[in-house]
This record gives sequence, structure tokens and C-alpha cells, in this order.
Amino acid sequence: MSMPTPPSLNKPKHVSYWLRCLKTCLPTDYTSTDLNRLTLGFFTIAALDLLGALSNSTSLEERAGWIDWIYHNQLPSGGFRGSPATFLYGAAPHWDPPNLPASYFALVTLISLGDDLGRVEKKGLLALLPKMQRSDGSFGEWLGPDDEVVGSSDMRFIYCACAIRWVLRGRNGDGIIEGVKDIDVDRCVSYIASAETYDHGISEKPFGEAHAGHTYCAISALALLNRLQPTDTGISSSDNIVRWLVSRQIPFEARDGYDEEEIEELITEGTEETRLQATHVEVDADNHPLWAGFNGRCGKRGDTCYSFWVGGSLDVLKKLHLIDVKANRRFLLEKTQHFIGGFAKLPGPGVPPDIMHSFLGLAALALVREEGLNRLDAMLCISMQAKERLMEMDWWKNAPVS
Amino acid sequence: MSLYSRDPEWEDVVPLPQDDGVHPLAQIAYTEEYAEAMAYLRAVMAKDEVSERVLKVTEDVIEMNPAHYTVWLYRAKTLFALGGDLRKEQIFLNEMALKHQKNYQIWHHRQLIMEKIGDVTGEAEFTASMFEKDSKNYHVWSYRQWLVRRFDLWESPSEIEYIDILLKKDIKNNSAWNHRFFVVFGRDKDVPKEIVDREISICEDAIFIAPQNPSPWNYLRGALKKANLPLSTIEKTCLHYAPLDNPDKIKSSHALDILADIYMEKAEKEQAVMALDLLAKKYDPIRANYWNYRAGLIRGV
Ligand SMILES: [Zn+2]
Repeated sequence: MSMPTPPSLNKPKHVSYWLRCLKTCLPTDYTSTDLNRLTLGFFTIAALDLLGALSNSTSLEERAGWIDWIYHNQLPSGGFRGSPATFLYGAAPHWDPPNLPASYFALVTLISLGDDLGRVEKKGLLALLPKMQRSDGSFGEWLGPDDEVVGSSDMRFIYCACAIRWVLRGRNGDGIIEGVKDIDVDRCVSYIASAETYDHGISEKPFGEAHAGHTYCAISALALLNRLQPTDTGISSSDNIVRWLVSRQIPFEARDGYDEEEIEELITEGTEETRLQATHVEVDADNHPLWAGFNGRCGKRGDTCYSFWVGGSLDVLKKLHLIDVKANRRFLLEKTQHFIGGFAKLPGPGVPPDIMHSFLGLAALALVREEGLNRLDAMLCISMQAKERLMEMDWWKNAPVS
Repeated sequence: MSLYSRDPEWEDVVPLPQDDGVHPLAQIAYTEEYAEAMAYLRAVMAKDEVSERVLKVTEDVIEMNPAHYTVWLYRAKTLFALGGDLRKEQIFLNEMALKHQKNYQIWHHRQLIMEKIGDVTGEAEFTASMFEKDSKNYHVWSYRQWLVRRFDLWESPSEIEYIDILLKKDIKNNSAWNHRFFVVFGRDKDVPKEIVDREISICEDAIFIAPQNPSPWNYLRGALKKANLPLSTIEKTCLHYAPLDNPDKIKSSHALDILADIYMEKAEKEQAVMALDLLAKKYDPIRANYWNYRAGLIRGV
């Protein structure tokens, strides 16, 4: 037997995967994400930024073109549409509405591309936020006809609102100019607190099931609001949440590498022996599992994206060192990194890489300082360099929004 | 191929093509059908048209892309304005939900429709058929909670009975455990002692079947907190699955974890550290850093 090769990030393959996403059409399967093209655009640009490939694999003209495209999706009165798909050439503006996630993704993509947000309708976008906040403190996904707040109440939209506010208000939140109403921060914080579950993860709403994606959004939103410290009205205690978060790490079992049919054969129809074989966990000399990713909810399978949702939450809480970094890294690099580049959602044969998991896999590795990747700011989910560029912009440092 | 451009019903409509700009990001290889349906949808939306054919084109687009957000509200508004058949809409939604398991807009739209219909008949059965396919579907559980709140199903025996069925099938189904917690403890009122006792014994039964299943242990913690009872209420149970004086007989890391908290409650620091050490070294080494951190806090390092 030859010496096993140490796990490594196949950087050239990732770069070519992302350049393919950037410069050729995405497959028809992505039609179900057609209305979230600003989100897909963010993943693509931010991934290349983490890989350090944005400035040497794309030209200044190309980047200027993509910046223009993002502004092409800005609405005249502020905010961004999710995709050119809703553009109606100026007719029926209520059916071409601002979308909260798209507005956040537009801002962070622009920053990642080196834009100074000079053409962003800052006042208009900031003014949208309180309009999209409900009386319970939560936010909607988009603003419908007659300013109706549309979409579910969940942590994703709260996060987007808080991130937009943080980016546009500038240092210390003083950047806001007079006359622009702010969101109701207290209500927002108490909504987040109300969604803390009995096992101390965070759900989308009161009494929902704790979910790592919502937990990341909630923790990061609190950090963006500068309200992470537990208070009477806020989350119970970050210790409780840390316990729930670290509990998400789970060892890779042999069956996780099989396809559905094989699992069925070994577990349901198999013998005691095949069942044991299927749930076998390989460990090192210290009894630590070799591979261990994260699940998003209690009792679910490990999935690439949760290495970020959980890792990012812990990083914001300054507790990322409490996970088994090595086993997580090996899970990503040896079990879900795809040979054509990118990451698949799950280990196992025949699972193709997809844009979201490919970005979040890289982001998760960037959090633990994988060699060859730029560092990531967990709270904003962009590279440290991009965040620093924003914070160095004159309008950001010196407040009043133009 | 083309559906709309050759259809006399759509003759008077000039389709609005997508303006993708000069240097688009994330371009998708649309099928011809999708691109065409979208162009006709934009045309009627631009005129705010309210008509039967709006229901057709919105249905068409939803079939191909249920995550299109504005199309759902446009459809709902049109349907309500025309006084359309809401039960028929419900059937359409059933099909869409079964076909697109991961989509959340469908469930949001379903709430609007059910709000108008105002009759919950059949909803428990339909959500149950969704759980047949995926008993942990987040959107469907969220909708099921909405049903309980909206139609006041708190006391409905079928809710708890259904959870029992799901847990019998899969004792590790955390979504079902969570729904149980919601039904039992989700109202702003005190839960009687006999209900709390019942819940504790249900957890203990589940733990007996699978001591390493985290769900009932978490549920126990939650139930005790709701009832203002100390964790030490379940000290005996924990010691049964994690006898500290006989570490080779330990069957549950979760019992050890709770024991550490119980000893902290009682200010018995050494015992707490012992439980945490066992977790780090033997019973939950994947979280060794975390257990060592907890022990470190107690030791005051
Ligand atoms: Zn995932």
C-alpha cells in the first residue's frame, strides 16, 4: 500500500469550475434559481475572490461589465430586483419590486468586485428597510403592491436587512442622513430571541425546529446590530447556543459514501453484520473520527453547506476552535470536494457540485484558514480584503450618506 | 414547440423578452418553453391584466419555476379578483408541493388560500402525505404549525396521535419531537403537572430504546425548563445511562452531558469535571475541544 496523499484543496480545478460558471451559461437545471440570479452572481464572484483569482483571471473591463450588470438590476427608487426576469421596461413597477436578499447580495458583490457603491441609491435602499419590517420585528422577502410585506418571516431576511444597514450606514451607524427612518432594532432582536428553541439553536420563528442556516443568520444579524451580548430581551446565553452548534458535528459513517440503493440493501434488508458495516466510523489513534462534517438539524446527515453555517456562527461567537477542525477539513476535501472542481452537497457517488455548496465549501475552509484561500469575514460572508476596502471608503469612514 | 405565439387566445399580446443587460452574471440555459412563458407573463403583468389566461400562464411558469416570487402573489390576486375556485387551487397546490419538495413559496401561497377557504378539512391528511416522502420537510412542518395556530388545533387528539405514529416509525425524527414540544408547550399558559410527568416518561421510554438519540434528551431539558423544574429531577435517569462510578457501563454521552450540568447546579465541581473528561476522552471525542473547554471554565483556567 502506498502512503496516502494528504488531503488538499485542488485550487486549479476550483478556479476553472468558477470561471466556467462565470463565463458560460449555467445548465437548465438552474431554472429554479432564475429569480435569484444576483445570489448566484454573488457566489461566483465571492468564490473567485476567496480563491484570489478575481484580479488575475478576469480583466478590469470584464469586472466593470459585471458591476454595470448589477446596477442594471437596481430599481430607480432604491433596492435591487432578484433577477432581470422581473424587469417590465418601467411598466407596473409594483410587479418589479425590490427584493431584500438580492439587495444584500448586490452590495456585497459590488464590494467584492472593487466598486465603491457610488451608484447605489443608498438613501432609497435604507428607507426600504423599515417598510419591509413587520410589527413582530421580522422582515419580508420583497415589497409587494401597496407596500405589502411579502414572504415568510425568517432569519434569512432579518440577516439581509441587518447586513444592508451595516454596509450603508457606515462606521458606528452614524452614516445615516437625517430624514431616513431606521429599522426597529429592539423588535428585531426580540424576534430573534423568540425563535430560540428548547435545545438552544435558532429556528425561523417561535417553536420552529432549530436549524443551522437560520442560526447563522440570527447570530450574524445580532453581531451586525452590535447586540450579540446576552440581555434580558435577547438570546439566552451564547454558551447554550455554542453547545447546540458544536453538537452539529457528526462522524462520517461508511453508508454516507454509498448511494440510496446500497444503503437500503445494507440497512433495511441486510444482516446485523452489514448494518454494522454500514454505520462504521473510521477513527485515528486517539479515537477521533477521520472525517466529520456538520448537519443542519439534529439527526440529519452531514452536508457541505453546514460546515459554513455552523462554522460561521461559531466564528462570529469566537468559538470556532471548539470544533474538530481536522476532521471537518478532511470531510470537505476528501468526501465532498468534486474532481471537476467545486463541492457537492453530500458525499457519495454521482452527486454533482452545485454553485451554493461549492461556494460554502470554500467559505467553510477559508474560516479555518485553508492554505491558498483568502480569509473570510464570517459576519458579512465576504473576503477580509473586500470588507477592509469597504471600511476604508471615505463615505463609509466619514459618514453622511450621499 | 411554441405554445403562446401560435395560440389565438394570446394573439393580442406582445411578449416582453428578458433584458439581460450587456455583461450578465449567472446566465441560465433556459428552455424555449420557459423563456416564452416568462415573456408572456411579463406582458400581462406589465398591464396588470386580470383574466383567466393569467391563471394559465402563471400555472405554466410555476410548474417550471416554483421559486419565482412575484408570480405567486400575482396569481393569488387574480384568483381572488375573479372569484376563482379555491378548492381547485388547493388541488393544484397539492400537485406542485409533491413535485417540488424543497420549495417554500408553495406553502406560503397555500396559507393565503386556506385563509380564504377557512376550513381545515383534509390538510392534516395532505401534510401527512408530504411527510410520507420526507418526514423532516421544514416547510411542511412550518405550515403544520400554522394550521394548529390558525385553526386552533391545540386540543385536537389527532395532532399528538400523529406525532406518536411518526415517532414509532422513527424515534430519531427530531422534527416530530419539535412539533410535540410546540403542541404541548407552545401556548402562553402553564402546563399541568400530569402533562409534564407524561412528557418526561415518554422521553424516558424513548431513551430506553435508543440512549444515544439526542432528541428526547433535549426534549427533557426543554420540558423541565418550561415546568420550572431543576435538571436534577432526572439525575437518576442520567446515572442509569451514565454511571460515573462504573464508567465502562456508560451508554449515553447525552446523559453525561446533563450530569455535568446537574453537578454544576449543585456546585459539585469535581463530579462535573469527571463527566466532561469522560466525554472528551471516551464517549464523545469528536467534541473533545468543547468538553475540555467546559472543564477548563470550571477549573478556572
Ligand atoms: Zn446544503
